[in-house]
Amino acid sequence: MEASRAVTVLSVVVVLGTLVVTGPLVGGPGGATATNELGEGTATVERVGLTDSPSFSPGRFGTGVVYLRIPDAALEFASTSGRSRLVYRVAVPALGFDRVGTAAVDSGTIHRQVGMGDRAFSPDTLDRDRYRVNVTVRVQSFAVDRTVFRRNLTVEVGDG
Amino acid sequence: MAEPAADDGDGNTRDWSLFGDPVGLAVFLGALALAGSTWQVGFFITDTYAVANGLVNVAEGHLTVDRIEYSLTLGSQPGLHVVDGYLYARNYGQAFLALPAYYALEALTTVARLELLLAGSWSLLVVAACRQVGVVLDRRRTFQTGGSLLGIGLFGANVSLATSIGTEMIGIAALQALSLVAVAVTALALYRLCSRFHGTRVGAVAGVGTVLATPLWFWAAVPKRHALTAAAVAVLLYWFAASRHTGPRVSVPLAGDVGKAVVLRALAYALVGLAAWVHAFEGLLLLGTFVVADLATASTTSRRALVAIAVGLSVGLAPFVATNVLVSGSPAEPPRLTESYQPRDDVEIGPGGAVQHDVPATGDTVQSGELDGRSAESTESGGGQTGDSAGDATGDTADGRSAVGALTEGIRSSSAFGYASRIVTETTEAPSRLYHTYVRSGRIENGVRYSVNDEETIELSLAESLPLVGGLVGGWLAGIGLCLRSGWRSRRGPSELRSDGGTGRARVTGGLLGTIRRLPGRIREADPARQTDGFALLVFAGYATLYFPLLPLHTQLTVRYVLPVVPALVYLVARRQAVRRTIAVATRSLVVSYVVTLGVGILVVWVAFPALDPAVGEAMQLHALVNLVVCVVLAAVVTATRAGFVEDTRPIAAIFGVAGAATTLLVVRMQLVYFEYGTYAVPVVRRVADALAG
Repeated sequence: MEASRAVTVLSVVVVLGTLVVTGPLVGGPGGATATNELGEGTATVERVGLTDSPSFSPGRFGTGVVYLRIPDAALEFASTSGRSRLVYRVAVPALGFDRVGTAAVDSGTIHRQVGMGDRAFSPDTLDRDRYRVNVTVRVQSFAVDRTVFRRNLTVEVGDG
Repeated sequence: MAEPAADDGDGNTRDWSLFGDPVGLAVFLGALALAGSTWQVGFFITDTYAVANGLVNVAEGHLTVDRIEYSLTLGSQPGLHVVDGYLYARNYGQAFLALPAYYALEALTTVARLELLLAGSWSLLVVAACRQVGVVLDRRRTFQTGGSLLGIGLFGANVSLATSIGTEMIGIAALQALSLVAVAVTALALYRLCSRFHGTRVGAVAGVGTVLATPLWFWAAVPKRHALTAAAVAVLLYWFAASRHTGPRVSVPLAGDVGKAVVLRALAYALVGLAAWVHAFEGLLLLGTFVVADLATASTTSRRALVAIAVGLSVGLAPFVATNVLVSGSPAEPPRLTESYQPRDDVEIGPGGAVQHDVPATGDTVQSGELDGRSAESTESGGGQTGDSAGDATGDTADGRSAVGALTEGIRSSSAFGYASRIVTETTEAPSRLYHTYVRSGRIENGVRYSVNDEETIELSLAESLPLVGGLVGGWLAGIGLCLRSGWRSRRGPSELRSDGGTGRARVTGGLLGTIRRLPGRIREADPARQTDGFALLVFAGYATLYFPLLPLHTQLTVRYVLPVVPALVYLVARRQAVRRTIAVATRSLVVSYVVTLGVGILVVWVAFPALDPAVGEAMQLHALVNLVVCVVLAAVVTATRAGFVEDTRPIAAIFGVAGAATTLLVVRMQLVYFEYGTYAVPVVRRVADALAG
């Protein structure tokens, strides 16, 4: 058989073989696909803070909105074991805004940042000069649920 | 949608071939591999849930939705309709067309995991595409060896990165697979269409450009109707072009010897019927435009041809009519026009997704309009009562009211009339509407409900999402300019003669009338390429009119309602003299410009985006502004080249490469960065994108 054809046959055999061997009929190696499931892990936090302060600023490039710019939360761990996750929550009660960003923490993690997208507001919904912004960071798993950071900030609406 | 297409090349014209030649197959495989590389298995727009539920229930053997497999929240979902106490999905054409993919996935997932099946199929597709490119470039062995090794490598990487996709997802995956194939068919049809008129190079660039340089790539994995109707438009354009002269005779079972052109026209009418099954209004629009264009330019309108057309249309419409009769009881009332389901009706969806029927209640509340801004698709007054309207109307005429009166009433209450009146009443807003839909989006204060998308300004205009149209605008501007100049020159002659007593004016009027009188004949005798231009323009005008009262609208992103005109626009761009000459002569400059711009674009994004830290809306508007500038420059360069100010073909090749790369960057980033909604079928692409995303 010509070499190029042989390689093609090989590729087809490898793909089909892998599909069948890992498939439900044969039930071969089960760990072929990763999971994102929460574990029984826990994490001791050394240091936690925001990379910047939340702020309101006008949208660029013709978006015609005002954005609440949301910084990332940065954490440093003293120790971690198993799999847990970070739940970073930012809420502006007066605007009905409440959003959560999550990140997984595996054992051995030392630094982790967790963030979320900025939130757009139509300029006419912002009728106050300043808003109260509540920020929390929690470490969560089937074993623990601990708040490691809590701030109530007042953020001014810049006139941009 | 991959019906056989005719090979009218110079070779054996009796052959029926799907891909035409090796290049056609390479374009098809390449387009499918590209579109599949960014496939996310999941739901992007909420009314896809209803269609996917329709598919699952059709696969189980019934049109009624008795089991809700997919739902975001408990209860109703947009696109679910209720008739006589039973639930139906909005779109059965799409569901039925996806059945083969559904059954195939169902069978294959008994031996393989779904996520690995998708990754494996894609890896083998890459092998096939590489091999075929090698065949085209006459270096098959090298490409086949390299492609096979690449395929094994990609598959290995995908296996190690794969995350589980449950087998319950095969319904949505089948709809997405259908949509992806439709985009590949669109690329193939454009290749065959453009290569027919202007050679293999122009065809290949148009075919590949259909995926790389248009928003079709984004919508390829979003199983809305748009990719399907876009494929229908592309195939219609090709069949229209291929059937403009009588051509050879072929033998067809039952019909005997018939002209090949007649067979293609019959197939085209059947395809229009199938398009109506997917979306009745768009099917009607395509039927109207195709009938006008076909009959005005047909090589023959013999009785035999008309019978063939009637048979084709009837066969194509049969599934549409049958579904309508089974669902609403009226052949002309598609499920989409029946009453939208609300949880307070006599049907309930249980926690497990099982649909429970109570005794049909009388005096239901009238639901007017639909969710998702498609109110124009139901009637203006008392929409939702349509379920009974057919029966009422016959009752009224029997009561002795004049038939004409009943007919007038019928027309007035029909959605078509309501639609037409909306088009007329809303023309006052036309400049602003058209500007925001086709030129510059920005923040559109009227008509767009940004609240449904977290106030993000993500709705782009057509020029911003398809900067290639600059080539069309430029070609036309130069054409008009050249016409005016030659017209002005020729008019100077008669105006000097006019001094001898008023005959000039009479001659001009007679000339105009004569031109109009001669028009049908001139259209019939025109070059098939020009006739196809006319059909493409008609399709564009039809879609622009159909969706004029609705646009601009939220959740359009790239004006998806007019996505089906993208193949027509790509064809029209490729047809501009300055463009097709450039592609034929300066292909290398075009490809180099595309690759370099894409590389530079990735680098700029990698460096600049972390510094700018744009929100989704800001990023989309930044792409929009860049694309708009590219579009304007493209228009200017094409105008200058066409008008003869620029002799060199390289500037135009370079700016086309830039336009293509800018669009690729937009549609790929939309799928990998801005809008994540599912599990990536090819996780290795996701991983590479993470490294490059910045």
